[in-house]
Amino acid sequence: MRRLLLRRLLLALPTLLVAATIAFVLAHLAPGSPAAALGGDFGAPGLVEEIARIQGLDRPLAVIYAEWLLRLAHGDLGFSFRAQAPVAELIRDRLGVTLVLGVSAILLAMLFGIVLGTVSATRSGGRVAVAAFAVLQAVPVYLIAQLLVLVFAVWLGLLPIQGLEDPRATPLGLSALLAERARHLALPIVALGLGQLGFVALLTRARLREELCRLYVTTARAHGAREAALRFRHALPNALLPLLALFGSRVGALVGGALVIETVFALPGLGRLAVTAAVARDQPTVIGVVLVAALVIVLANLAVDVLQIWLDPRQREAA
Amino acid sequence: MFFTRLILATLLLNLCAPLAGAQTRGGTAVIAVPSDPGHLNPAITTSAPVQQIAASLFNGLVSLDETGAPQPDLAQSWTITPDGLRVTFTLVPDARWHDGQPVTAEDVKFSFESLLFRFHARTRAGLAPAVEGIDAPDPHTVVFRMRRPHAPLLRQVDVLEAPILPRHIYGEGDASQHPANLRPVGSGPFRFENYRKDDTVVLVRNETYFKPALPHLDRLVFRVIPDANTQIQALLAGEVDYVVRVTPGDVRRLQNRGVTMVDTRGGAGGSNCIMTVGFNLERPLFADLRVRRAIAVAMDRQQMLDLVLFGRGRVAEAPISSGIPWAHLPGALAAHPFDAALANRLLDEAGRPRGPNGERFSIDMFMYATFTRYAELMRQQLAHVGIALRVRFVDAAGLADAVFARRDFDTTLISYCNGLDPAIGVRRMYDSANIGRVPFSNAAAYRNEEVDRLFTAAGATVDETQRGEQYRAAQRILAAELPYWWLVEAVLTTAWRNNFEGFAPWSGQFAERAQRLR
Amino acid sequence: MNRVALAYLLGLGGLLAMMVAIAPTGGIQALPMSRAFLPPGAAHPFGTDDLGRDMLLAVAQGARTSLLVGLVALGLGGGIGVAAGLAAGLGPVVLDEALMRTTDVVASLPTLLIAVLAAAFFGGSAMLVALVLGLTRWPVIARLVRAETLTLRRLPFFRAAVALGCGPLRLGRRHVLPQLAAVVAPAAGVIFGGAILAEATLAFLGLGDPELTSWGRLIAAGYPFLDDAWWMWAFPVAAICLTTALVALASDAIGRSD
Repeated sequence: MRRLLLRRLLLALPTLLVAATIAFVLAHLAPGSPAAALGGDFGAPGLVEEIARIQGLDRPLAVIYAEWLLRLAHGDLGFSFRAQAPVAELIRDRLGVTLVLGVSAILLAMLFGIVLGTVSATRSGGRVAVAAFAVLQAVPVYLIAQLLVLVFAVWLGLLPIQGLEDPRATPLGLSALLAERARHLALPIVALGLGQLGFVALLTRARLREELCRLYVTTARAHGAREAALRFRHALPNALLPLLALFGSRVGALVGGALVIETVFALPGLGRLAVTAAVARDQPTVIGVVLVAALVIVLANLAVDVLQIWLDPRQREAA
Repeated sequence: MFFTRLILATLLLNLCAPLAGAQTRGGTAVIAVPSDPGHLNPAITTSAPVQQIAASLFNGLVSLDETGAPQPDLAQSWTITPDGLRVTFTLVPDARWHDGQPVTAEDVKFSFESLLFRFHARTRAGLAPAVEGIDAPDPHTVVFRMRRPHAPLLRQVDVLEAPILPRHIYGEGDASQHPANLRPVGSGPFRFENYRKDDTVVLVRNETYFKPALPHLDRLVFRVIPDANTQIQALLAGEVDYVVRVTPGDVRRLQNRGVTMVDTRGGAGGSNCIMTVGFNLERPLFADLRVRRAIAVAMDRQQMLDLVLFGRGRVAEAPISSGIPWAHLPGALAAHPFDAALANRLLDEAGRPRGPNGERFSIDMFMYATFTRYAELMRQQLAHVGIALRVRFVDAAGLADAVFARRDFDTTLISYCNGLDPAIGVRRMYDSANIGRVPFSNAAAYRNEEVDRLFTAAGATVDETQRGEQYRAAQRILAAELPYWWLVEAVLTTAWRNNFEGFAPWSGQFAERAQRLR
Repeated sequence: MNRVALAYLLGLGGLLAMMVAIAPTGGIQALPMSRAFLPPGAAHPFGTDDLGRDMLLAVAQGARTSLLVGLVALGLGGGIGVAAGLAAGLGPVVLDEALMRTTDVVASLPTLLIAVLAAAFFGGSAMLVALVLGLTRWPVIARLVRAETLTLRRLPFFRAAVALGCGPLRLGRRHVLPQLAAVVAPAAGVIFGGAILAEATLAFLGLGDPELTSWGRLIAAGYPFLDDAWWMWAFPVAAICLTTALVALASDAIGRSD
C-alpha cells in the first residue's frame, strides 16, 4: 500500500510538469500580448510597450520559462497581471466553490447512477433506460442548467437563480450562511450531476450485465437467491470495483462541466478564472489553474486507488 | 440633442411618478455587470468592466449631463482664455477623500501627469499631446497650459475620461500594480467596502460626500453575472435591480415586466459607437475602390438593423455618429445604397469574375465572437454577389495582434466608439500617424493628407460651427474613398426595476442620484 | 457484432446519411433565408432561426460537422488507445511500464480545460476540438484493452497459439482484437458523444468554429432565445440525443453479445 502511494505521488510530478508546460506553451504562443489586453479597447501610441516594460513582458520566452520553473520549484505560482494578486491566492479563493460543486455532483451522480444502472440491468428490457441515460448524458449542461432555472427558480420560485448568497441579506451566522449557500448551490449541483448520472448509470449497467453472466451468480440463483439480492448484494460489489477507476477519469470532464455551470450560475470558481485569464492573456493565472486542475485529478485518482485497495480483499492482502 | 433617450415602460413609470416626490434615503441596489473588473483603478485603463464600477468611487473635474454638456463636479467653475491656451478650474473647497484628507489641486496635477497621461489610452492619445503643462498655483486652482486651443477639453475631463485620484495614496510605487488598485480610495458618492473577485464588489454610501444630501442609496452591490440569460432571469426575479447592458433581443423579453428601460448612446465603455467594417488597404484587392464600394453596396444594412438589432438603432448615415449632431453629415453615405446588381457590376468591372462555382473570391473578417449574428448575415449577403466570407473570431488581444500589429487580415468588424467629440474617438480611425502602431485605431491603414489636415485643424479650432464644417469636409472625402464601411449605430439599453428611479446610465456616476422608492 | 447492434448502427447511419443528403453543400451561406423566428410548420418543419434560415436544413448541415468531430476524436482516441493497450499487454514488461505511466500522465490532464484554452488562444475550430480530445482521451481505452489482453493471455487458447509460435503482432491481430469489441464499445461511445458535447460546450463559451454549422453552434445560437424560440435549440438537441442514444444502444448490444 505504502509503495503504491509513493509510486503514485512520484508519478504526480511529471504529470503536473507536463500539464503546466502544455499550458505554458499554449499561453505564450497565443497571439496578442497581455499588455494589449490590459489597456482596454482603446489604443494610444506607446501604451502597450510601456505596460509591457513595467510588467516585465518584454523579456525572451526562455528567460520567462526558466524563471517560472524556478519559482514553481519554490511553490510560487506567480503574480496575476489582470487581477494584480498572487495566483495562489486567486486559486485558493475559488477552489472551494469548484470542489464543492464537483464533489457533490459526482456523489449525486454515483448514488443515483449506480442505483438506476443496477435496476435497469435486467436480462431483456432496459433499452428505454439505456436511451434515457444516453439522452441525459447528451444534453449540453448549460441547457439543463437553464431549464432547471426556468422550472425551479422562475416558475416555482423555490430556489435562487444565481450567485452564492443574497447580497442584500444582513451578515449571517455560520449555520444560516451554510444553509444559504446550500440553497444557492442546489441547482448548479443537480445540473452538473445530471449529465454525469447518465454516464454512471450506463457504465454500471454494462458492468453489471457482464457480472450477472458469471458462474457465481448462476450458482447463487440456483440456490434460490432473489433477483434483487442477486444484483445488489452479489453482483454489484464486484461490478463496482472496475467502475471506480473510471470515475477517477471522470474528474477531468467534470472540471470542464464546472466551467460552464460557473458561467451560467455566476459562481466564482476555477473554470471561470481560467477563461477570464485566457482572454486577458494572463499567463501565470492560466498556467496556475491548469496545474491545480491536474493536481485535483491526480489526487482523485489516488483516492480511487486507495479506495479500490481498501474495498478489494484480494488487493488488500497483496498490498 | 446629444443623447436620445427613450422611455419604454412609460406607463409603468407614470404609475411610479407620484411616489417620486417622497424622497427616500437608504436601500441597496444590486447591479449586474457582465465581467469581473480585475482591479478598480479607472485611471490606468479604459476597460469597461473597471469603469462601470470604479467610476462611482471617484469624480472628474466636470460631469457630463444627458446632453453631454459639462456640469460642475470637483471643479465648481472654470474659465478659458479667449485664445484657448489657458484653462483654469476652481475646485470645490470642501471635497474630501474617503480617508478624510482634502482634495487639492496637487491631486489633480498628479492624476493627469502620472496616471492619466501615461495609462489611460483615450486621455493619453486625445488630451496629453495638447497639454503643455498643468499648474497648481493654490490648493483649489488648477491651470491647464495648452500647446494649442483644444476644443474637446471639457468633454475629456469627466470621471470616465479623467478620474481624479489622491496623490497621497497612489503617489508611491508602481501605479499599474498598486495595492490601492484593489482597495481604492476616492472622493466619489460611494466608498469602497469589499471586492470578491469574479463575484461581487460592494460600495457603501459616502457620508461626507461634498454634494449635499447625495447619494440616496446606502449600498451598491455589483454582481458579476457573465451569462446574459441569467442576468435577465435574475432581474425579473428581483435578485438583481439593474442590468448595465440588455441585448436588443432581450428588450422584447423585458417589456411590460415591471422594468424601466432607457436607451443611451453611451456610458462607461464608450459612446456613439458605430459598427464598422475596416478594409485592409495594404492588400491589393482592397486598394481598388470598386471592390470596396461593391462590398459596401452588397450589404443590406436595413436588414442588419432589423434582424440583428431588432430595429434598435439606425443605419449609419455618415462616418461620424448622428449622436454628435454638430459634426455629423446627414446623408453622407446616400451615394451607396444597398444594390446587389451594382455590386456585381462593380466586381465584374474590377476584373473579379465569378468562378465555376459562382464564387469571385474569398476574404477573411476578424471580429469578436459576440458579433456572430452580424457575421452570419454578412456572410449571406456577400454570398449573393459571389464573395465568400471567412469569419475569424478573436478576443481583444488577438484583434490587436492580427489587425493592428501584424496587419495580417483582409477585413475586420469593429465597433468604433466615436465618443462625445470626434477628436476623441473618430480621428484615430483615419490618422495616418497611427498606422500599425496603435491598437484599435487606423485599422484600414488609411492615408490622406487632406483628411489628416482637416482633423488636426478641427481639433485645434474652438468655434463649434467652424469645427463642424471641417469634420463635414473630411466626411465627404471619406464617403467617396470608403476606407471603411459604416454599418449601423447601435443604441445601448440599460434596464432597472421600477422600484428605483434616478439612475443616469449615460454617466460614469450612474447611481449618484438614484433612489429606492417607497 | 450481433444483429441488434448492427440494426442500431444501420439506423444511425441511415439517419445521418439522409441528413447529409438533404443538407445544401457550400457552407452556412448556402442556406436560403425567409422570415425570422417562424415556428415549425408546413413550409419549415423545424421552423426558422433568428435570421430566417430553415432549421431543418441547418440541423442537417450540422450533422456533418458534429459527426466529423465525433469520428475524428473516436478514430484518434480509439486508434491510439487500442495500439497502446495491445502493446502494453503483449509487449515486454519495460514497454508495459513505460506505456502505462504515459497513460497515467495523459489521463490526469484536464482535457476540456486545455481544449477551451486552445480555442480561446487560437480561435475556435471544430477540428481543434476533435484533435485535442482524441489526443487526450485515449487512456481509458488503453487501460481497458490492456486489462482484457492480460486476461486473455492466461486463457488456454492463447497459450496454445503462443506454443504454436505466433508472434505478438499476429497474436494481437488474430486473437485479441476480435475479443475487444465488447470491452471497448461503451468507452468508444463515450468518446464519440463526449467530443460532440465538448464542441457544443465550446460553442456556448463563444469559442465555436465560425465557419462550420454544428449542432453545438446551433444550440448556442438558440440559447439567447431560450423561452421565445424553443425550436432553435430543441431540434439540434434532439439530434445530439438521438445520435448518442443510438450509439449507446449499439454499444450496449455489442456488450451483451458475449
